[in-house]
Amino acid sequence: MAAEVASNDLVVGLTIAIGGMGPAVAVGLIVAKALEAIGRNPEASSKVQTMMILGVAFAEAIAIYSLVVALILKFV
Amino acid sequence: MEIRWYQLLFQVVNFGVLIFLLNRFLYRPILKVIELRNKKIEDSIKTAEETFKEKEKIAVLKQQALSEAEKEAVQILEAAKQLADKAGKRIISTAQSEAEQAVDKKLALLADTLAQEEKRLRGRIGDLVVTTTRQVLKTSLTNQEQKRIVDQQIKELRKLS
Amino acid sequence: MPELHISISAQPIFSIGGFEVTNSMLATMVVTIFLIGLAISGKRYFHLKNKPRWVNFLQTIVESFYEFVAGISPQHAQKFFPLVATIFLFVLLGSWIGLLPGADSIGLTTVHGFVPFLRGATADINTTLALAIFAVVSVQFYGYKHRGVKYFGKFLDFSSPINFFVGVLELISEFSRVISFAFRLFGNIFAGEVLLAVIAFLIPVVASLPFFGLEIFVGFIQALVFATLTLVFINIAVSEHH
Repeated sequence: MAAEVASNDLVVGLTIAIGGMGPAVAVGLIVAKALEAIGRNPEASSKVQTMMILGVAFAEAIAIYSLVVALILKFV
Repeated sequence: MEIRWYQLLFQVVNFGVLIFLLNRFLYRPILKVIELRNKKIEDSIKTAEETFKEKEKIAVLKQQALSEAEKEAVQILEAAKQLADKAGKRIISTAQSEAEQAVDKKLALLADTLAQEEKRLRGRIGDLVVTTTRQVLKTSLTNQEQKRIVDQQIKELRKLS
Repeated sequence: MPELHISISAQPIFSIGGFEVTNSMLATMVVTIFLIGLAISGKRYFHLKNKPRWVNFLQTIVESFYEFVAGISPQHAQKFFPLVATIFLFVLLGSWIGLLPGADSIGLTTVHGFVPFLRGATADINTTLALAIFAVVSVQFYGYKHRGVKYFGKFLDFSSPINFFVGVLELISEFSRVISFAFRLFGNIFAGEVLLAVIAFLIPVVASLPFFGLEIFVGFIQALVFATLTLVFINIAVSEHH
């Protein structure tokens, strides 16, 4: 029983850990590029910001999927 | 985690009602306010532009009036100058002629008096000649003496004149 | 060691005629009534010059959000604004209501154990799924309204096998949008509540304060993202080339 609980916890932790890696890199790249664009063209910052938030939301959604899976595994 | 159709339905209906009521009581009044404000701003911009144009027009008119007035003033000045010149010339010429007339009159008067004097003097000379001749005749003069006396008389006369 | 109490789904408080009323539904009602109350009591002030501060505040929020919408969709801002703004306000308050003091701590002890009266309205998959379905159906509706039957041509294209396959993919992508919308919002808000619960469980005082700030920010960002994505999808749907 204890081993089962431990392996379940391990699966939950790995789910969010591995699932969070890709989106982390993606969000970092998106924001870096957006900042670069704003640095080059500060007048367009509001437009770039909007698109950046959208892109970040898309990338982050992947992490949220794994988070939801982890939460379901943990609490259901 | 369970999805229940009645909860979903409740949420959808609730959200629809929320949209409807918020649209009615929140968004439409505020959008109306925004529209009114934009209209007001546009109107004021328009009136401001019109006022500006009018101002420019007035400025142009003013400029025109000013330049016209300047031209007129120059004309008036020139006319006045010409008039003054003419008047001055006229005055001068009349003055000249008057002066000439006065001089002429004086001259005529002088000539008159001169002539009178001469007449008088001539008369007297004649008298003198007559008296002297009488005296000389009384003393019976020689030809030579007579001639001398006449010469003398003439000399005297010359001296007189 | 006391047990950490986390429930991934909304719990029923009472039932009316066989239908259970969950704490999330209760929070939804509270948010709805609060927003409508604000709107109705503020309505008579909007066009006046002197208005109460809270009316000014509300008007500023709505107007700046309108500017935001007009910045993304200049031609149809007036048409899409009600839907997008309502999504924004509802998600914002629905996320924040779970952060209120007592939202997760005042409740009843029923047969299912302890049940709080209020739970973040968007920390329930039913709410977020309903919102996502509403948003995506609205996207299809606006697409049909602006482009007619031609709009659905992008799903059913028999001109070539490749286009047919692309149409099927488009259809699938609409469904994936629903799931993406629903799980993004639910995951973010629910994860925030779990985070707060765990922090409060580990260190009961002060420590969770910065995380409350973080969750307020997350609630705002998620509301903005949900509204913006809806607006962008509608924009793509009504424009000729997708």
